[in-house]
Amino acid sequence: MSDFLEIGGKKISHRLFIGTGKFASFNLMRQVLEKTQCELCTVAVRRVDADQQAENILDYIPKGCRIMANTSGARNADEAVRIARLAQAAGSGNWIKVEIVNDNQYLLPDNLESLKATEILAKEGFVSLVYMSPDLSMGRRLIEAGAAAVMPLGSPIGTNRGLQTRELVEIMASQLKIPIIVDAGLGRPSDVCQCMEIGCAGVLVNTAIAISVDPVATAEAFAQAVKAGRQAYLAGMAEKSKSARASSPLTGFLR
Amino acid sequence: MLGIRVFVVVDNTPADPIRPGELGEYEMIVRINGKNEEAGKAQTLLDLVENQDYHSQRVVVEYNQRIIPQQDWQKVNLAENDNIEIISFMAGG
Repeated sequence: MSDFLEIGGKKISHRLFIGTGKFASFNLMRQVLEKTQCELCTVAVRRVDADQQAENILDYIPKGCRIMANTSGARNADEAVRIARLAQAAGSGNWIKVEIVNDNQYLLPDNLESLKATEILAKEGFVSLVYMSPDLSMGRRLIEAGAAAVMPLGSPIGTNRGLQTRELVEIMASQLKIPIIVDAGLGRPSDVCQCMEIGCAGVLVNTAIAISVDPVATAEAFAQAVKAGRQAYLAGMAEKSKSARASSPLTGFLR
Repeated sequence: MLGIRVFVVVDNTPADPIRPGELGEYEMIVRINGKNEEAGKAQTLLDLVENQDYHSQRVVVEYNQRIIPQQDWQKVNLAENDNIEIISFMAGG
């Protein structure tokens, strides 16, 4: 397949990225990653609880699926940079999802702190994918700061409310030269399909898959929707019109 | 009726700090993942990670805000009030 997404010099052909949180078991998570041939999944970095470390998540991530740590828990740029360095030391390589949140109710990201973190991380050689509130100017600034991709949110984390930010994300997708990966709030296959139709490069889904009744089947549905949306975007869809345009001939009526 | 007198003695002199070994069973206290813990017989960072039963292949250790590579854990001698973070990957989105 010649259609691939390029981030940090790496080619990715499956555009559904999956978060590893909230699965009922690591086994179930592995099945989801395998079945969708997922090429990029996210993990968090946390203090180890000595009593609860029988299993390690890394043992359940298939080969071929890149592990990208997020900086969740960070409330400012310094904390995010610290977590990124720890993640790299723990073996996740130099890809990092910059996620800085200091709003506990809506978990909305702090774009300014994310920008500061991205500047520092880029100088240290990190490939930063930056979770953000959709904003064209901030997207441009993040590119200048060295972001490899930007991750505007569709709606608040874990809400499954879909692409509420469509207008802003669509503008970003049409104007920015780096991949736009919609992250957070995507709850239905139709949501991810919409993201791809408007020209986004990929999507990151976690909650909608992990807490569904059958996560493997749900993930497959999302993967198909991502492909459908992408194909439609590449195909160049017909324009919308306010008035009707007959699809049958307007001549030769039997009357 | 018996009179009971209560004497209150106010001693304003500060207590002497407890010195290592003074109480016989003194153990060094270090801060691990935000909690004060006795270091036990651990003298180095390596001892500590092994004593705490962490799977040493899978954790990153930050010692007083500095990440210490695993091959250097045995070179770091613990001291009172050291701040140690033992970190690993968890599920997350």
